[in-house]
Amino acid sequence: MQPLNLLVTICLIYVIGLFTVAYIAERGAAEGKLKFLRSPVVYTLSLSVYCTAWTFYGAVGSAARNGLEFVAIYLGPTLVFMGWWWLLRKLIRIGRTQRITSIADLISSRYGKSNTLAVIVTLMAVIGTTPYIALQLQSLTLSFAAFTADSGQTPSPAVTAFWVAVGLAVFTIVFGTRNLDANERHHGVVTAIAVEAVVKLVALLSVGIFVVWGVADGPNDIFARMDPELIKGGQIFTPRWVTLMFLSSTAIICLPRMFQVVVVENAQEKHLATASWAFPLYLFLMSLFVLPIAIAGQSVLPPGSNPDLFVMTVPLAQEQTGLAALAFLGGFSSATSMVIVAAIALSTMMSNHIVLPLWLTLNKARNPQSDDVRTLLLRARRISIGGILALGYFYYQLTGGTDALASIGLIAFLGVAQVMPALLGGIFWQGATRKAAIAGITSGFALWAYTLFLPSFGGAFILSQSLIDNGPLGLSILRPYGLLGLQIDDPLVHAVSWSIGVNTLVFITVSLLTTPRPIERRQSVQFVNVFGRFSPRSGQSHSAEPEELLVLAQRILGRDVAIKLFNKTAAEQGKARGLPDPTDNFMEKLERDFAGSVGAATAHAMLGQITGGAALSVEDMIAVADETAEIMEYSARLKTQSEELTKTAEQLRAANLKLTELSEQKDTFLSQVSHELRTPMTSIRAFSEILRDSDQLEPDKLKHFSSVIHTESIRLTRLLDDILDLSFMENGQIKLNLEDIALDKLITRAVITSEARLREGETKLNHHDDCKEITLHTDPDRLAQVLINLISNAAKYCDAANPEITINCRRNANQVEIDVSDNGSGIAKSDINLIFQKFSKLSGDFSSGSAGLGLPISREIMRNLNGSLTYIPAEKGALFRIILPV
Amino acid sequence: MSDNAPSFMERDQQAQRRRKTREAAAFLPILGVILLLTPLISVFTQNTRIGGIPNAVYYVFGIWLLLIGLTRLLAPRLQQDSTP
Repeated sequence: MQPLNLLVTICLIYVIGLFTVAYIAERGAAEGKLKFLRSPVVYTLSLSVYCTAWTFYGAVGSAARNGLEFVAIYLGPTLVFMGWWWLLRKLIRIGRTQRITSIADLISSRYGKSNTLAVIVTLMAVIGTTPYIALQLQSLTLSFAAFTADSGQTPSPAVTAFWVAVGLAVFTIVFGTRNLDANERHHGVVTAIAVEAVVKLVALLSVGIFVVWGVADGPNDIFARMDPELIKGGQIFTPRWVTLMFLSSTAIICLPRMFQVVVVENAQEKHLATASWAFPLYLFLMSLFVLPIAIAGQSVLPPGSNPDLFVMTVPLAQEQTGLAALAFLGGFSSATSMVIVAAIALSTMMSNHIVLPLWLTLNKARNPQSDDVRTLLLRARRISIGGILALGYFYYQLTGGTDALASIGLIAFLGVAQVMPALLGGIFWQGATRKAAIAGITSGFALWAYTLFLPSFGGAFILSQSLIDNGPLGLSILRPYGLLGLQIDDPLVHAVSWSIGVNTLVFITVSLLTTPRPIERRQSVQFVNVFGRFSPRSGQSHSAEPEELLVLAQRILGRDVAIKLFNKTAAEQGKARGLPDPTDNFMEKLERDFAGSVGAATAHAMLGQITGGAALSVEDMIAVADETAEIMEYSARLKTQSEELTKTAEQLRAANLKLTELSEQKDTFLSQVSHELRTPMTSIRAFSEILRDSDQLEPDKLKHFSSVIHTESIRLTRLLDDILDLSFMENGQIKLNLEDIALDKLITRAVITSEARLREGETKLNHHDDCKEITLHTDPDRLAQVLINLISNAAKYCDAANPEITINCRRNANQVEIDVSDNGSGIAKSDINLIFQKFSKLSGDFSSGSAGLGLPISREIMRNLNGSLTYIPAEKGALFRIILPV
Repeated sequence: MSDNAPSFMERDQQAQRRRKTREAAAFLPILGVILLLTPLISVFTQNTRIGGIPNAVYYVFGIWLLLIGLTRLLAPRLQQDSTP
């Protein structure tokens, strides 16, 4: 069989094999079988799209030219995966919670679901990836040509590249756009890529082992053949070494295809733990035999052979056609897996961020529910894939075989690396703003284009050779390879310093100078604190109609998925039937699910159309922010209210108690009054009856009876006077005759008046005459009445053998105290509260000589004279104290 | 101490271990940078050979393998930590 036919057959069989694997995997995933497809091994192997044909063939070429330098391209990713816990894990968690579909989606979602940013990143990705796809096509055609060089049957490179591009497009369309998975995962593709990863590794290891132990005689022999200039001692650490490490470590995250497999296609977060060491190990094995192959190529093949093809040409030169075919398949696998994943990633970005927003804008006037978004999206993706491969093909046609294409790998790395500052800032710094991201990325991208990308065409594209050599308009200070006179020989290092440096500086500066919009702030919190807890939002309803939402959801998620989601939500909201309410939580979930299919910015815009574009207004944000404050204030208010209530209840209880007491007092008072009135009335009635019924009474008796009636009437009158008096005084209606009077004179008068009573009980009255100087402005009669009352009470109740009453006067700063005390046993403690009450009976010792109104009246008098009358519990006897203002 | 409930000391030790694991996870990439991305690398890659192979090759690939091994050691513990 002719080599060409053999090769084509091998390729066809291989591709059919891949189709089968992808098909089985897709079926298995759909049926929930084939658990191993979701194993960390498949995940790790799928990451190998990092190793493209450019690395498969080119690493050896690089080793043949620059020694160990190629290792840096693998060490960068190793370092990033070693730090998986801090960066990749966070990225994957964010990707999962926010339903991120691509690197452009991540950046756009973080910076307020900005479609501008999404478009910028998408365009950058297309510009950076298209040459890369062209590079894969070139590698394939070169390897094809090398394999068939001897047979003289070499097909034209254009034809090879064309058919390869067509084949890849078909495969990608079939398995990459089979359906719109809400999670954007492509099990078939991923499994096929994992298989290709194994083929790559096996191919390279086989060639390596053959070279070391077949061509040479073990490792020592191989390195003995090495050109000593290749690895010069102590010269590994160079600016280029550092630059390559930096570029490769950013590429592992920022390259669209890498983001696709690392973040989007990640089935379970825990797979990352395995990949953290397994993927570096894969890279390690991939590079283990690179140097030996390069050395063998240099020593076996004639000088001037293309080192980029050593992997294949060395076995061919050794007549090992089978091994060479395996190597070819390895390169074929590298190229196809890269192109497939890149095309999927780019088509997702293009359809979500460019086609769909455009369609939405164009169809604003039309009923947005009249078309199926899913069909549109799938069609857009298929066309995008075709377009991307066509672009790659034309790019290859234009620049194929030139140095421009060969060096495009690292140039593309730097192009997509411009996303890095915005990405890192976005997930670790809440203060990063959308404007800063746009400014940083565009400035970095412009510098990259000016200092590296455009000059790489060697004057053939936009920048002329003279401009590259002398700067625009002869201004040498603006030379692309020596901007502002910066003297760095390596254009790559020069461009990295400028673009990444300026990008980062602009990004940080603009972030510090601008304030984020509310939606940016919300997203920044959700991104930076992805491992924290979010406070659930309030359950307020949106203005959206659930029916409209369901129609939209059916169009984006598909009928079954949408209905299932709505039923589930309705059940969660406690609705037995019908559609769920458009609460904040539900809207947020819907938007995320939509984002999983169409990207955050578009999902946001589409829901915005239904909710009237106000999915999140400033007021919402303020409300959310104020909610906490409101709740706190409300609870504080509740607390005060409850305290007030307790206080009021306390007061009410006291008032009630007092009312009950008063009512009791009133009853007591009435019964006392009637009792007091009844006693004299009874005797008056009895004696008056005697007088009426007895015709003949002795004059003595007559006199006695009438005097009794008289006395009792007087007592009755006095009692009524007292009651009237008390009632007047209690209402403050007492009429006072105020005049100046010397206190001692007043006391003497009271004492003299009391003498009559005192004589009965032989009570001794001590009047300490120490109030001489004091003159009062008061009602003398009333005050005397109080004193007389106190003295007579003391005389009446003092139970001492030799009763003694003492009157003391004292003058304080602005008041006079008059104490009336006796030497009796005083008033029982339980009675102290009763003595000032009307008709009170003290311990049953109630004398009919008094109606029990003396003390209440005295107290009322003192109150009306602006003074007070209190009982002071003394050591011995009773002590009443009158206090009067001076 | 009861058998089923871990004592305070045990829990404290566990927390300490977890913290140390996380710190080690942070330190690992730094170690990699120090060993591979500083001029230090020149010290170990002088132009000498061990058994015919330049020691630069030994150094770079050896360190690489070492770092992979360390990551392999840490990965399960970190994984446990993240899924309590």
